[in-house]
Amino acid sequence: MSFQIVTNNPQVIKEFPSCLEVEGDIEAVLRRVRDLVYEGYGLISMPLPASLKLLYSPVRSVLITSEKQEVNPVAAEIAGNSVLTLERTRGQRGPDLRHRSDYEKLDYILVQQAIAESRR
Amino acid sequence: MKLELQNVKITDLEFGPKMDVVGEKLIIDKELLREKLLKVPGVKEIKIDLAKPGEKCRIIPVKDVIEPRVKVEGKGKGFPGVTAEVEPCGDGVVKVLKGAAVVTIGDIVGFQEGVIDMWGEGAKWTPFSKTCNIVVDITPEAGLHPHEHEATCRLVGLRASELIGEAAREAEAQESEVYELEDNHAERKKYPDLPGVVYVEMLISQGLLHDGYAYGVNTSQILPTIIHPNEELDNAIISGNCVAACDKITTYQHQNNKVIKDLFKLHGKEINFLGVILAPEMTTLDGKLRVCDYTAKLCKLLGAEGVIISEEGYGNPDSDLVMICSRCEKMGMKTVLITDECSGWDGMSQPLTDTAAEAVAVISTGNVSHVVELEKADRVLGDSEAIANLAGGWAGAYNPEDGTMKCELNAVIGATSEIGYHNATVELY
Amino acid sequence: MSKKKVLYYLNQFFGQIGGEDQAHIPPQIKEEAVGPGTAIVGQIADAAELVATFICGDNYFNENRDAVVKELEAAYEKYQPDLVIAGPAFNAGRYGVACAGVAKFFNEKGVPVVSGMYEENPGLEEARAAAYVVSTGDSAGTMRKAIPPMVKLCQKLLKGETPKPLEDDYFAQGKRLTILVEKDGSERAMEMLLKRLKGEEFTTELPMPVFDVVEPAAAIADLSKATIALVTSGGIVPQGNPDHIQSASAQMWGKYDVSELKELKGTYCTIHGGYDPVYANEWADRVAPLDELKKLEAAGKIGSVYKYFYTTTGTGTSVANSEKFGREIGAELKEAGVDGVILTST
Repeated sequence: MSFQIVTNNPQVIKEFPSCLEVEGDIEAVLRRVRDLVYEGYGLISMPLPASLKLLYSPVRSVLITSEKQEVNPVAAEIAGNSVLTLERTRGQRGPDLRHRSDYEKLDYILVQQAIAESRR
Repeated sequence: MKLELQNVKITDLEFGPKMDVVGEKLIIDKELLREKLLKVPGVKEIKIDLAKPGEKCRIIPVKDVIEPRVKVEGKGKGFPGVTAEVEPCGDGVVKVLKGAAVVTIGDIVGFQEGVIDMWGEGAKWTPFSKTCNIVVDITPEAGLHPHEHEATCRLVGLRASELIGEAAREAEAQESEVYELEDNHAERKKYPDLPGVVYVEMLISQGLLHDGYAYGVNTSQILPTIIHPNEELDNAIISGNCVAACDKITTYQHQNNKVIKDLFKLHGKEINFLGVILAPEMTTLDGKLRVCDYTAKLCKLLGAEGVIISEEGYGNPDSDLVMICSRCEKMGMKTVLITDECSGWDGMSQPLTDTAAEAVAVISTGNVSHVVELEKADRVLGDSEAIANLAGGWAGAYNPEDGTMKCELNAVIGATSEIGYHNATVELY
Repeated sequence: MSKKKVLYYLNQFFGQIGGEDQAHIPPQIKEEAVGPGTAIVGQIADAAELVATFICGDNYFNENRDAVVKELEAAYEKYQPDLVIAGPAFNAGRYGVACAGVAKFFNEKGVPVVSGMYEENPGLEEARAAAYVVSTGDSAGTMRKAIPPMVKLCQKLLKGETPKPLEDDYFAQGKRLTILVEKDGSERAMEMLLKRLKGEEFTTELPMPVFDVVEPAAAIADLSKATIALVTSGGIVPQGNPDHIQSASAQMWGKYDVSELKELKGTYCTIHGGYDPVYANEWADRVAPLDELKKLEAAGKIGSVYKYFYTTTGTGTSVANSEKFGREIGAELKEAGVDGVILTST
């Protein structure tokens, strides 16, 4: 499946120049993913991470299909809920900017894993 | 398969000339331990400390907790496929230093939290304030790739468990737990009228700091697989996860998986325990669909009438949890889910990321955003920078006058254990 | 030990001033127990004393919120109550909404509030989050039954205890509090599983939200030929509110011919009780954008704007009434051949 990466992570942008670059924080990335999924792009990797600490990450990278297809209602719900979950879970805490470079590095490693998984 | 865990009771710790148990006191040969752990590839420096219940001591950032034990009869020494040869686990006799725990500290990334307070308010919220902890602080060689760094820390913890576990070999055990389960055909014949129950244990399987291992195999590489419950109680499953402090399953909790132990208690009386399915939590949607379909199918194939499903982590795994549940329920199996929730500081928000109408029976192990107040510690084992992570989350979290800090449960190791290893829950007011 | 201070809130009827004809009266304070207050305060007299009864007409409360809040503020300053009791309001809608307003005010001040309502009272949703609302019958005839649980709650709160919804028979506030219990999560899971397998009753610890799912209609194929209607729950009405649509807990909806208008600005205003009306009154299209729709019509982007504009007030309006209004308005629009609806809320 050919994919594109929606990301605000400078390290990912550097390695994948054809990615869809988002300006802003992780919330902007999730909103962009949601809107694209609503438009019919397929959701390849999950918008939310699997651990709480990564909800405080300033960066996030998500894989979607490079072509539009029929809107997938399951994916649309997941993408929509991800924005709400992020807001709710972060509460009054903002992104953890002190460890930006570590978050960037980890996000880059995790998106590579997602790419590998999507190719199986 | 029959596994006997012989428990050597430990209530105290001390450094001494050799690994030993004197009465209920575990003696740690610090020099030997340090010398052996320094040989693990990638290690530059090792620091060993002891932390006992009640001491005004804080341990942070915890990577993993492992129970020290030694296998005295049967195949599979140590952690097969990782620290020892590949051999099947689950049969034989293991001597366990019950009440002791190896706690590894190693900050692979700067934002790790994971706190254990051995006293006061903080102690209430983690099961590992009640264990006598041998704290191993790991400094890696410079220039290691994060993957190598994580593997080094993981290996050090496992090796420490083996080295300290030797103290149990000749020690006298005060109690014995026996876990026995024959093949499904034999068990069905013994208990033809009891309902079959399968335990689905979900494991985060999404890459660095988000991995689990079965016999050394990264679970992101597997389809859901059936294991004998004894295998997990006998070191087959290992944690490679360290950024979900409150709801990661530590290696210690695999070795002592409470759901498995409790299902054994009911086996032959109320239920027929059919086995454990390891279900990897994938990072792609297709991966999740594949795993969820496959898991429900395995439950059905085993003839389950009831299924317990436990989650690991929070966020995208909520989707796996409810998808496995929906599939099982639609196939006619009755499920009970174990998960934590995030209902905000005030507990007024919608608690789960993903929901399903079929999820009618859910155990909540607590709100990860619940705020607790931690007192100032006399002694900190680990990294003061990590304390800044705890206290730096939001304005007003840290009181410089008395040193108390407010922290969300999500930073506390094992606070909201989703395999039901802890006593937190949520009540509606 | 000095006794705790109680303030009691009543409407004109239970405050023994009069019926519907007195619903317009502004707040007044009596420094004595009145009506149901006599019974309830009498039973907690060992721990507390009544310092004031705050009485207000239901219509006055709902139409003059700011003025009432000022009076509440003054009463709070003067009496410094430790506990507030409001109602019971049974199924009286405006009284329930007023009790909710009182609860919200004192909850923000950190003063616990006890009330009583029937489960369908439109004030309940707002009140339950801010107060301990006992479940009552639907009419004042059930007063005798409503009083004991309210007394019990007051006693607990006066002692500083935390009430529990099931034990104390009040509507859960929806607050999920993390606590430590004797049994660990696994043991609780085993018990729940056994109950399920035996077909016995069990209680989930995390109820799934129940959503009312509405199938979306098919997309409009050609907007340039479609008739679009404008509907709002934002309380936008012709100036003077000719049909007297309620500003909260609406009992009705209205429809107005807007075919001759280019915009609502100038001739329409808001009567909605749930938001600051200044900007909507200045330019009503900010809530219900007739101006933009008319521009789209002129540009040929949409076929036409439907002749009638439909409106009601959403705040405090019961789910049952909302569904009824929706069905009624929907049926009319369908009958008229409207293709699409712009529905705005606030």
